[in-house]
Amino acid sequence: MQGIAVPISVVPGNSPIHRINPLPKMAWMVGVLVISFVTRNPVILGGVFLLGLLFVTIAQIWPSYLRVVMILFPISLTLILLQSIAPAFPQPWSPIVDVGPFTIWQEGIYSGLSLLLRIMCMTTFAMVMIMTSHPSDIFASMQKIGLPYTMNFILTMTLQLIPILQSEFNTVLKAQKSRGLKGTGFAAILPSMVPVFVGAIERVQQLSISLESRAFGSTGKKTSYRQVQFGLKDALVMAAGMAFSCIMSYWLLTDPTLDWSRTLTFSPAFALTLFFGAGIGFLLFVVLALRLVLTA
Amino acid sequence: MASKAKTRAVRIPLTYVVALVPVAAALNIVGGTIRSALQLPIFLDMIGTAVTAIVLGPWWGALVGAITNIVNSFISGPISLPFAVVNVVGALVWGYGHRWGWGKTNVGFFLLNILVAFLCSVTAVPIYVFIFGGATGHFSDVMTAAFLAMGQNLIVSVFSSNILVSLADKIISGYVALAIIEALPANLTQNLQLPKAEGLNRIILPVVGVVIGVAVMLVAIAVAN
Repeated sequence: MQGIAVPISVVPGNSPIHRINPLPKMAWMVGVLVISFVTRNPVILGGVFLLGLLFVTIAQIWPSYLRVVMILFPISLTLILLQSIAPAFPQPWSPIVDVGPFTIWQEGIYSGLSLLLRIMCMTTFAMVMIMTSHPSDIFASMQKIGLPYTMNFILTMTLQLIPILQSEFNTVLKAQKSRGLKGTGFAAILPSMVPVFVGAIERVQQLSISLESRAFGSTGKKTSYRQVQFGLKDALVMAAGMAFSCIMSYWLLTDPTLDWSRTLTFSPAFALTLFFGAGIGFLLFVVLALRLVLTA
Repeated sequence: MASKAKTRAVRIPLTYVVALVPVAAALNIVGGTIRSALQLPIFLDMIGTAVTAIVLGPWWGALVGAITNIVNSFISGPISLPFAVVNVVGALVWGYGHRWGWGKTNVGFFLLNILVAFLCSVTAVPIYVFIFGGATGHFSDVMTAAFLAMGQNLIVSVFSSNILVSLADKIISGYVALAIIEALPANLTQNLQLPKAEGLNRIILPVVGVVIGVAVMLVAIAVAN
């Protein structure tokens, strides 16, 4: 999962969400993160997820957002499947139905749905923030709230280097293939990776000299080429996000009736449909992955 | 040891380190692309971390690990963010392991990579279980289901499947890092005592042996329980 590389970037636009400063959007993102971990109630999480989808609609980023959802599809299937038979939930568990060596548990279905909705909530609000804010604006805003400029430089530089290194890797791989190297499998790792990294180190030396010549690390007030405004509208959106997060968290923490983990029941038909649907989808994914590995 | 570390820090200017960290983090992220292009069943997302931890020191490696997952969350979504801890742990083990002289010989370096794999799995499993319900979206989930069917609980099952992938990934990443370090400019690597980089063809057989051995041991434990 750590290796997934999906080119997510800002989606150009002029929607009301695009025009908001990145900081209020970050406040909403962090607020939803807190809410998602405070509760496991699927209806509350579903409501927050729908609110996120409303923001996706307002921002007009559906095509890019759906690409991310497609990437999350395999993990969603395995999450439902594994949780149904082994809930990450305190025992005792109530059985719904037996399937071969496995038992599908009420708490498993509940846990699977709530964990899935939690991931979808966090991803949706994060995507709204990332896809409607230019990375430079995000880092400029973070510098305003105290992020050290050295860290800011490192983060920005990393983002800028990724497409360059990807392009260099493709060039090196094509060059090696043209010399008869096998383009897949373990044997191709060293001939394709070492030249890319060593080339990058040469760039580091040039960059280092360039930074030295511009007095990087000197004391004094730092200025930024990119200016990000923070107006009254941004302050109101930020306050709304913080209020939403605080009120919801307080309500969820203090109302014990919102814990439906022991009271919500699922029918055997629903449990079996969910289990086999996720299982078949997961097996198809595994077969596709194995085919890729075996043909390498 | 401390004086040696101090000498190295003085020799490498801050601007060089500030320029090297993004390159290593970007290489970690591009590792995902390389894995897809070469159709490999491992992650390859900690090679830059290993290089930095060994060459510059464990905490610079930890910074690379954290930056990798922070920036990756801007590229592939926030699900990679919690795994920053795993990347940091890997950097600290590689960095301190090398500093304490565990990776001077070929056998020592091989065992150091196994230790990295073990500690990375120990760190990753609670994240997988409590945030992602044990799912990884990787085909190792089949192994998790198999261990569950043998009667193991979720944490043990996820650890059992994760350690197999992690062993292969971290050993190969360690040796790729070794090959990269060997190709770096001499002023960066003159103080380092490391074994000579082997071709990956010579490493694959021991890796397969270790993975199969651990798999057999895990299955035996599951059956015995």
